[in-house]
Amino acid sequence: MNNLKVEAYFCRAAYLEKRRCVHGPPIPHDEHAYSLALKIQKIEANGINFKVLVDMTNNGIKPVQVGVNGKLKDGNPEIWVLGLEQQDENGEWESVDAVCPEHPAFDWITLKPGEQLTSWALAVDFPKPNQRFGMCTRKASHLGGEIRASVRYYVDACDIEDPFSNPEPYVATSEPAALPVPTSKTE
Amino acid sequence: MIRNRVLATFGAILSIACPGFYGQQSSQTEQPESLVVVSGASDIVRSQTGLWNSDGCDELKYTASSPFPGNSALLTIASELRRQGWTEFRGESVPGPGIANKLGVWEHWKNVTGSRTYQRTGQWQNPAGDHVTYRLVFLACYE
Repeated sequence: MNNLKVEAYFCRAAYLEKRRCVHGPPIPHDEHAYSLALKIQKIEANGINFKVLVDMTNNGIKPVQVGVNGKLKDGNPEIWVLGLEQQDENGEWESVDAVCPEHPAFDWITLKPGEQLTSWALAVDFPKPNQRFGMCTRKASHLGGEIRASVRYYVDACDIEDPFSNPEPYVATSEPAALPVPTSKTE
Repeated sequence: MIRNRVLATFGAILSIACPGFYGQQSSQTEQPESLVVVSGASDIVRSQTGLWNSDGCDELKYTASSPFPGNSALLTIASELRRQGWTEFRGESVPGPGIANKLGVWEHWKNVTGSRTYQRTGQWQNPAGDHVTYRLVFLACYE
């Protein structure tokens, strides 16, 4: 191993302080006020996998936060974590995305009512069922049929920092969309 | 606190082809000198849209030819930061990009591509309370 990758980040104290979680009274769960709509915009074949582009729109009346993990190569934010699912033979939705959310979002974007962002994730054609990576397992093998997208969203910095503390987490889910039939396996 | 219970290893990052991680971009932007580029670095990418607090932090990425465990690079970075008055962060870690279970040690896991990712994260602070985080990554392709 000779190929070292270095990532470095410099953050000013004032900015860190502004984003720090300050615990206050619990925010009542309100899916009308805090609402995020997901829509699959496009699905593109990427070899045997599929790139799924998703639009997210705050269709509530309060700001919401979406976890991010930097930018994708096309400049769109990488959502932490944009889930992709397909149904198994029993109708259960199983994850087919490739990111294991083993930590909370370290960064986020606030979407005010009416604001939208676009991101994408890769639906992976796992060669066999129960593929393990990190601390995650993907029960599904091979892609087919329809895909839907889902994402956890948040109401404040504390909700993000300690996502397990919220007894009623907010999750947005798209309508399913059909995978295109690949024209080439060598793309 | 979630920071204390979360296993913050990055589980998997698909579509990372070994060894090219960041493409061939290179850019020059005015940045804090605490973002240190080691000798012989390539594919240098600078931006002000980091993984963490994206609109408030400066980000630097590059690759370097350095044998695992990257002692030469680590020494260069640490020496330069100490020279600038930074001290290694000893308190509770601030959640940042790639923060793992422990600061200052190499951690590793098998990623979704079947290769193994080795990561070491260090955090530093200056007297003003600013933070700088370094994440060093090696990919062992197809062990």
